[in-house]
This record gives sequence, C-alpha cells and structure tokens, in this order.
Amino acid sequence: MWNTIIVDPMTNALLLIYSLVGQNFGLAIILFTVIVRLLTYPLTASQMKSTAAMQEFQKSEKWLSLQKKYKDDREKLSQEQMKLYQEMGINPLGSCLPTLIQFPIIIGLYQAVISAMASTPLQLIAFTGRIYDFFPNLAGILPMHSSFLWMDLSQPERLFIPGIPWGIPTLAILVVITSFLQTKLMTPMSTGDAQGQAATRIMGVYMPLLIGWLAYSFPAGLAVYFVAGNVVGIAQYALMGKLDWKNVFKSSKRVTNSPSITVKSNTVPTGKKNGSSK
Amino acid sequence: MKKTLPVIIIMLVLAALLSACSGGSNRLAATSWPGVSVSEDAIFVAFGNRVYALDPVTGIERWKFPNEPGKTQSFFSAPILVEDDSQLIIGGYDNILYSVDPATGNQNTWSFAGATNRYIGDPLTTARAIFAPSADGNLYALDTNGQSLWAAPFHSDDPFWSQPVLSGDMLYQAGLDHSLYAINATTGAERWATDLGAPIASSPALADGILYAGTFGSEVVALDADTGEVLWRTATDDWVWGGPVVSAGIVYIGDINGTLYALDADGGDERWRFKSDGGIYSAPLVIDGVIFFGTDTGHFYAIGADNSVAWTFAFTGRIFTTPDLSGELLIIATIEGDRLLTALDLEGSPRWTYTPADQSTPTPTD
Repeated sequence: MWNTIIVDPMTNALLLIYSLVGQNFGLAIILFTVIVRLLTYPLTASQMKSTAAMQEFQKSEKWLSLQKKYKDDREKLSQEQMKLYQEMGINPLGSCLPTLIQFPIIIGLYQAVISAMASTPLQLIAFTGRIYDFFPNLAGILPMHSSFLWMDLSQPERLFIPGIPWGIPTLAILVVITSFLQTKLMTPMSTGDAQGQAATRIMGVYMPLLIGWLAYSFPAGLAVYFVAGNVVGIAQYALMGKLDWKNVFKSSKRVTNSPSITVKSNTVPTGKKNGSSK
Repeated sequence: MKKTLPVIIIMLVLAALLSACSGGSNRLAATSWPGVSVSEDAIFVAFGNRVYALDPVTGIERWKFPNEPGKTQSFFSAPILVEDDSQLIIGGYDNILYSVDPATGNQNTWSFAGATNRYIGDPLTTARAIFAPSADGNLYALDTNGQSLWAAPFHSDDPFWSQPVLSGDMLYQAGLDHSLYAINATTGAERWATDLGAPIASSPALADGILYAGTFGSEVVALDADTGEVLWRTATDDWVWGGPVVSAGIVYIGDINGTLYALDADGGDERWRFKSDGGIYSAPLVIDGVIFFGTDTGHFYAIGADNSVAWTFAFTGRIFTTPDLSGELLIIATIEGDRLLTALDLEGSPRWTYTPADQSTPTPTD
C-alpha cells in the first residue's frame, strides 16, 4: 500500500527525470527534490504562516497576562488559551498539520532515492520491480550512472586531496551547514517558554548533526538529496520574505546566555524579553 | 533534561526510521545471493560475512573465513581455487580480493586492495593468473602473488557483475554498460567490444567459436568470438539475467518471467520453451541431457531435453544461484529460507542440508 501510493510513483518519476537529463543521477536527484518541494509548497507556506501566527500569539500581551494570571492552574490556563486561539483566529494545529502531511512525502522521496541507488543484484531486482511496465526503454537506461562531479553517489562521499592521507566528507559537512542554517532560519527562536526554547535549541544543534551523520555514513546520493532539500527550503523561506540572517547569530547568543532554559516555571514571559532584543 | 528528553527521543526514532528505510549503510546493506563453487575435496560457499568450506559428501562444515569478520566484510562472490588448488581466491564486498588456504581457511600472505568497489562477479583463475571483475568497472589481472599483470586494469564505465570467460589468450567479459568485451589476457588490451543495447549481468557461454549472451533487453544474442560480429538475435518474453548453457547444439537460457528456452545454437530458432513457476535469474546446469534450474520462488526443476519434467523440488527460500554438481550431488543454494545449501541426488532426493551456525535463518542482509 505504502509502496504503491508513495514510493513507486516517486521512484518512477525519479527514473523518468534521470532519463530526461542525460542520465545524470546527481542532477536527477536535485531536480526531483526541487519539483517535489515546489509541489508541496502550498503546505510549506501554510505551515510557515501558522508558525508566524503562533509566534505573534506567544508574544501577545493577552497571552502573557493569562500566563501570569493562571500560573498555578494549568487546566484553566489551557482553557483560556483555547479561547484566545479562537479569538485570534489561530488553528493550533495549523503549523504541525502541514508538516504531518509532508512527512510521508519526505520519507517516500528518501526511499525512492535509496531504491534508485541499487548497487547489488538484489537491490537492482527490488528497484526494477518498482518500475511500471509501460516505462519506456528501461533496460536501455540501466544501470543508473552513479558518478556525479567527484562523487560516486552509490558510496559514502569522501574528497581525497593530495597531501592529506584521509578523505574529507565534504558533502556531509555541507549537509550539516545547510541543515543548521535551515533550522535556524525557519524555526522561531524568540518565543515560547523555557521548554520550547530548550527543544528549539536541541533541534537547532543536534538535528543538523544527526542528518550530517546520515550523510556521512550513507551513499552520497542521499547527501545530495539532503543538501538540495535544505537549499530549496531556505530559498522558499527567502521568497516569502522571511529570511533574516541575523537569526543565525542572535539565536545562538540567546541560547547560550538565556537563563530561561533552567528556570523551573514555564510561565516566564521569555517571549517579551526576546522580542525586545530584536 | 526532563524537558529535552522527548525531543531527543523523537530524533532518535527519526534516525532509526531513516536507517530502516535505507536498509542500512552501503557497507552493511550489501545484499546478494550466495556464491558457490565445488572441487573434488570441498564445497565452498560465500554468504553474508563469511565463506564456508564443507565436506562434499556429508555437508559438514570444515572451516569458515574469517574467524572474526570485520564490520565491513561480507562475501557473495563464489570462492574460486587456482588451478593447482594452492589458493582459494575470494572477492569481498569490502572491495578486497583475499587469498586463503583452501585446506585451513587461513588467510595467505597477500590480499589485493586495489579495487574501489565490491566484487560481485566471480574471479577466474588459471595456474598463473587471477582475473577479478569488480563493480568499480575494472577487470583486474593478478599473478598468484597478488601482483598486477597488466599495466592497468581493463576498464569500462559501469560495473562488471559476472565472471569472465577464457579461451586461449582471449578473455570475454560481459558488462552492465551493455557491451561484451574481448580482451587480450596477456596485456589487457581490448580486441573488440560489441554494444548489445542493454546490460549483461551474467557470463556469456562459448562454444565452437560462438559467444552466447542474454541481456536485459529481452534478447539472446550470438556473436562471432573472433570479431564480435552479431550472428543472430532471438527475443525472449522478459529480461535475461542468468547466463546461457550450450549442450549438444542447443542453447538453454531462462528469463526473469520464468520461461526456459531451448534455442538452436546455429541460428537461434526456438526448439521449445518451458514455463516455470517463478523468475529465472541464474544459468541452468545441464548433465546428461537433463536441464536443472531454480527460480526465485524456490522451485527447482529437472527438465529432460525433450521438454518433459523429470522431477521438481520445492524449497522454502528463493534460488538465484546456478546449481553446481559435486560428485553425484546437485548443490543448490537458497536465500530467505530455512537452509543455505541443499544436496540433492540426481533423482531429486535430499542427501544433506547446511545452515551456518552463525546464520541460522539465512537472509540476504548481513
């Protein structure tokens, strides 16, 4: 079911793009990622809009005063929060619902890329089993050519430079940098309570490292997909006019110095404090 | 920490999900079917992270190599003895070609680490030379001390997945790059190359100066071995993955749709066809006019030269490896089943089975 609806169509689309761009697998992965991201742009835009609205909500005087008023009654605070959501026309699921819808697409995209990098007989059998019977001249375009720039996309990438005895994982480094930038640029850093800030801090630091580790360990084609996805994500954010490079540095400083991470109560109005620092 | 724990857990779950989706890293997800070879004294099988040597009569394990497999070590290419039986040559998915003592399984003094991708195709050996096709697109020629014989390996743009064929001073190597190559075995120089239009995953067969090869283009092609000129082409119902066998003027070959073809070796005319239950991914074995082959659904067939079914045997696993003959026993390898090797007599009765103690349920992933 999952394969039929998600992975197989994506795998066929990836192979079709590969055949149309001169059998360049690296270029096919990049184009494929761009196309999927463009198709899911309405979801991304909706998510960003909701996130921005939520930021405004968390900075609002009404919400801050409610937090103070009901700091010892979490149940009442929740009720008032929902009322305030309604008043301000905010859907609390507005930012996570589009993400949830995109999640299967991202996983499917990932699986399609992995599947297409078949480099052993059984992997090739599994891959060709996904291709539709009507796909034109499949045998003629196989095997997929996995070389792209200096990389073999079917192997973990290392750049060997004369004089250096070990290979440098340049693509994994690029993945960490772009993932870090994307997380910092697209995640609201200045709002929320201590718990929210702590979660944001962890996402901002550890998630890029996690993705970087995957890029370091797995075939380079996957790393190309990560980098392309990150760059497209940042570009989409920039096109919405929300790109602020200061966020990258501001957020780091704030996190380092912020006492709000260690406070016991989550009712401290850190949003106001952060808001004023802008 | 309490507050950050859920986030860390979510990330770890995400990492596990992504890892599961990919089937592991490139090194650890090495997936293929067993490589099997037989000699008078032993049966050798490469599967997962080890190579095993078995007694050919009882199927009892004699040794395994390596004793303590490294994290990057796995083996699926058939281990091949050099002509004087002094060395067993094993190509690894760790890109290394090993020389092992066939009596003890101890590694000899040399190994060859010049390849940049795994060994999927079986090596070919003579008394003085080892020809090792690699998925890095190179065919390496080494002497029996592991030293290169050619100035440079023979290179193509795509992987070699099949064992070369040697005739006199001419090597024939099939490539996934759609070409069949004739190579001078002494120098490594190309004599000719013929583009067959689709990948060739298995070794060609050579008989009476004619090469026969099956391609992913759903064709069986016959070529002049001296010139590479195409003599005839015969269409099949589906891709041809397994290689052909020539016996008594007939070419036997199967396609992945499960059809076994008997073609006239002279002009490619179809004598008969047999539809099996499953896809055929390996070359058949022909003994005294009986054609033996297995399918990816685990069915093993013995078909007479008149297209009559002599007997069948149903395995619980899948068969991708060409059956081999050890004495009077057929050696059949399966994956995803309840045993790795089974010895059947020529009437289809089981004599012994073998499952490595460290791989109680053989699966294609290590």
